[in-house]
Amino acid sequence: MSNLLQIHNLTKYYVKQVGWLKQQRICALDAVSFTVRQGETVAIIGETGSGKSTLIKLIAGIDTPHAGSIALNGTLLKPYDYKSRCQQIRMIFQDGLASLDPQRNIGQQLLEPLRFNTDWPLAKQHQHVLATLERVGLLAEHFDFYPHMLASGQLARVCIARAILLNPLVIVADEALSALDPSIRAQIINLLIDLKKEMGVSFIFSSHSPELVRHLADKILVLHHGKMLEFDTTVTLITKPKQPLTQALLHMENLRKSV
Amino acid sequence: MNPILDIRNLTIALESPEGPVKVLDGFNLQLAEGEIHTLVGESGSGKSLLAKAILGFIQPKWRITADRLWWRQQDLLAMTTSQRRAITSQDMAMIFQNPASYLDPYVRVGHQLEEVMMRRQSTRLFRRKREQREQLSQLLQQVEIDDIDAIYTSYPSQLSDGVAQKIGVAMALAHRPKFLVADEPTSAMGPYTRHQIYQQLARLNRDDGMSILLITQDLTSMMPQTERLSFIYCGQLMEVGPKDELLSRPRHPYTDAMCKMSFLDQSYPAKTKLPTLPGAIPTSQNLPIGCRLGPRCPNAQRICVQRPELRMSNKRQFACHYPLGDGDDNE
Repeated sequence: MSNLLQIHNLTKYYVKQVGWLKQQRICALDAVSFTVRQGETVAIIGETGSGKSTLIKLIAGIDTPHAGSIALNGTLLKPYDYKSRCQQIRMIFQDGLASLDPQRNIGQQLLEPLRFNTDWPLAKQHQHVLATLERVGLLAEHFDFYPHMLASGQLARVCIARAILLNPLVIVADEALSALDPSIRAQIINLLIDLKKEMGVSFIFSSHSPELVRHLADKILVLHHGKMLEFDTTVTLITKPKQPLTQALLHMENLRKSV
Repeated sequence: MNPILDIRNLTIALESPEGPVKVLDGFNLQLAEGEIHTLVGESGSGKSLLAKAILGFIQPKWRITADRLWWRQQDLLAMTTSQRRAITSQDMAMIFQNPASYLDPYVRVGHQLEEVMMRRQSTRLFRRKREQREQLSQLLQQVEIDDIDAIYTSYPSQLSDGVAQKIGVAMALAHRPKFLVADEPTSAMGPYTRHQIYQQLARLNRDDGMSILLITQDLTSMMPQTERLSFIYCGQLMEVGPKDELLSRPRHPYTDAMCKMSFLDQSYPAKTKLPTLPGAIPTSQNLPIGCRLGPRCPNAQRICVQRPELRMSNKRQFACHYPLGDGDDNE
């Protein structure tokens, strides 16, 4: 297995206006470097405000870093080259209803990435969308549905369909599973496990829930105030964490049982 | 001992074009003084509606009927609005689910907090600013907010969701209530902050004897100190009982599924499929008849279109025709 995604010294500041003329720089990410192999699942954990979402946004290309580089399969990704990036790295957003257009039906929204990124004839595009809908456990008739007509679990499935439509190399997700109900969340986890087995895609996700991280992830990245504390396999971090914060984040159920 | 809150057969019906819909159907709850009770239910199960019905934040088009809705042996449904408001403002408090909905976007957070404090001690009109500020900082320290000055002068839109929720907790605790209804109080917080807030609530429970009804969506965000658990699905009560007993030996299929889906069993191998309930949660327009879990239940039979009676069994109650486990009802 080769290194698929190489992230080197990724740095991001946010600028905050303090008073009239003074500006304050807030470091959201400070020289984060790690590599992701093909087919690997990486979980990003950390407290609120530790830069999880910023890192995910930078990988997906929603935001541009101030320093550092992201390389996919050995080639550097340019910050404004959306076209090639969105074919290879796709994102699943947290709120399904908010990330879909309420005025267009599911089919139109799923056809759009194919229209911009492939030169297939329309019939083939249609066929591919229908096949993808079936693959994520929806029916062909959901093609004509509008987002408000679907339940939360179906919306999550549509978002996953949109992410896997172009057969990407990497899928990133920012807290995509935390807002779902437990029974629906378990269904979506099962779907993700299935899809990962079929497609061999690398999956990078951030989560608050230690149980979920331990169930899904091969490797865990621990962030604290924008700095990378640890990056290692799940088994190593659970059994032998070097930092106390890792211990605290991954062993919340001990806190639950105590008291 | 008499429970401080006694709810028997509470039904809330909402108006809809097809006639009234029972969003909460025959709910029972007995809360002893100083007890921590957790209510677990997925979205659309009517748990927020229940909280509002207890505190009396009712809209006129809701039809609320109950055999009993008693607070300290007084019938809440027979009271006038002003009587009920007196009880609610003195003894009860609620932490609301959505921080954006209870903070006024135009008023600084400090001012909103001051208003709550003023109501608590209305006898002294001319209180010195400094004294009030001290009390406020004490209150904010309780909910683990350190940067008090910055919070004091900021507007709600400038706060993150987690901090806004902490402000909500502080506002609810300002009265020192006897009974706290917490409707998903920590949904926007990380696990560590959640742990701190729960510890604070548990301390108040221990020292002041505050009873807590915690409402959550998920077993993983339950309070560890909780004594009893209720599972509710689509407005129907599934199972009630002591926490340890329910989690170790669930009798109702829904309780069993929730335990398995919430990763409580650490021995479950990683990267394998989770057991889950098939299908989606029904909307309030098309609720199934009889037991509402029926279409998704693995054990459902034809008789499940009839509503099962609530059965008593050794400190716990459950409503199911085909309960799990062998019949140890006589223990």
